[in-house]
Amino acid sequence: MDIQLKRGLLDICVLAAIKNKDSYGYAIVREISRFVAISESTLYPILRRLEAADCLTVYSVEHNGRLRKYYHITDAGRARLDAFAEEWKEIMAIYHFVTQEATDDE
Amino acid sequence: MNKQQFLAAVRLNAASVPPEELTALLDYYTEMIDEAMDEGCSEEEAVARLGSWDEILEQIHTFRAEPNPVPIIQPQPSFHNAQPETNTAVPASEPAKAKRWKNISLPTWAVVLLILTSPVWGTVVLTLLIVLFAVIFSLVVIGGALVISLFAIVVALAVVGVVGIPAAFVLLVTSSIAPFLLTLGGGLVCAGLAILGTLLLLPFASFFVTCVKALYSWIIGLLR
Repeated sequence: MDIQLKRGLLDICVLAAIKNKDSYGYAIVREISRFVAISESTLYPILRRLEAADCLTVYSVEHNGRLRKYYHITDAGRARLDAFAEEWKEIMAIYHFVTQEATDDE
Repeated sequence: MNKQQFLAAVRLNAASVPPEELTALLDYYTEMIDEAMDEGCSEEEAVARLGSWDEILEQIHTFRAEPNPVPIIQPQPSFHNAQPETNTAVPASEPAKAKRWKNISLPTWAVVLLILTSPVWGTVVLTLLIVLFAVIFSLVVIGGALVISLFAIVVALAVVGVVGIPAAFVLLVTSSIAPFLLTLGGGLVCAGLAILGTLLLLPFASFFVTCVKALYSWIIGLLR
C-alpha cells in the first residue's frame, strides 16, 4: 500500500479502534493488526499526533500493579472519522469509475 | 534482547530527545512489553514485537528537539484536507527552546582573543578529542576481541563434544569400558558447556552489536 495512504489510514484506524470504547495501546495494535500491518513502535507517534491534534485524550488506570494508559476519543476525533467516511464515498465513486472503464471501452 | 537492555539501548539513542518526551516514550515501551508478557510472551519475544530496531530508531528520532521534526508535519493524504488544523505538529514550541550555537553572540574582542589564542587551546582540544576517540575505539576493539575469543572457546568445546561422543563408541569396540566412559563423559561435558556457552554468549554478543551501532549513530550524529 502507498506509504502516505497507509499513514492516513492508520490514524483513522486508531480512532475507529477507540470509537465505541476507550482502549489501551496493546489492545489497539491487536485490533488494527487484523486490517493493516502495524507494530507497537509505529503506534506511538500516531497516538501522540492524534493527542496533539485534540482527537483523543489520555488517562491512566492501575492494572496488575502498574499503570495502563487508556485513550478516549474526543468530538474532534469523531468529526475526523465522519469526514473520512464522507470523503471515502468520493474515493469509492472514483474507484468504480476506474474499474468500469475497461468494460465500457468496447 | 531483554527489557532492560532494550530500554537502555533506547536511552542511549535518545540523547537529543527532550527528557519529558523520553520518559513518555520509555513508559510506552515498558507498558507494551509488560502487556505482551501478561499474554504469555517471553521478555525477548515481547521486545521483538515492538518492531525492528531500525523502525524504533526512526520513531525515537521523530521526537528529537530539532527545528524540523519532519515525520510529524508531513502532509496528510487528500482525504484529510477537510481538517488541516488537526495536522499541527506536537513539538511546535520545542525548536524555540532548543539552544543553538548560532544564537550565542560574542563581543568582538572575545572573538579576536579566541582566534589569537587558538594555537594554544586548539591543540589542547584536538588532543583531548583524539584521546577520547582512541579510548572509545580501544573499548570497541576489546569488546569485539572478547566476543570473538569467547565464541572460539564455545566452538572448540562443541568440536570436542561432537568428535568425542562418537569416538567413545569406537573406543568401546577397540578398547575397554574405562576409556569409553572417560571419553563419553568428557564429550558430553564439552557439548553441554558449548550449548550453555552459546546461550550465555548470544544475548551478550547482540547487546554488544547494539551498543556499537548506537555508538556509531551517536558519532555520526555529532559529526553532522
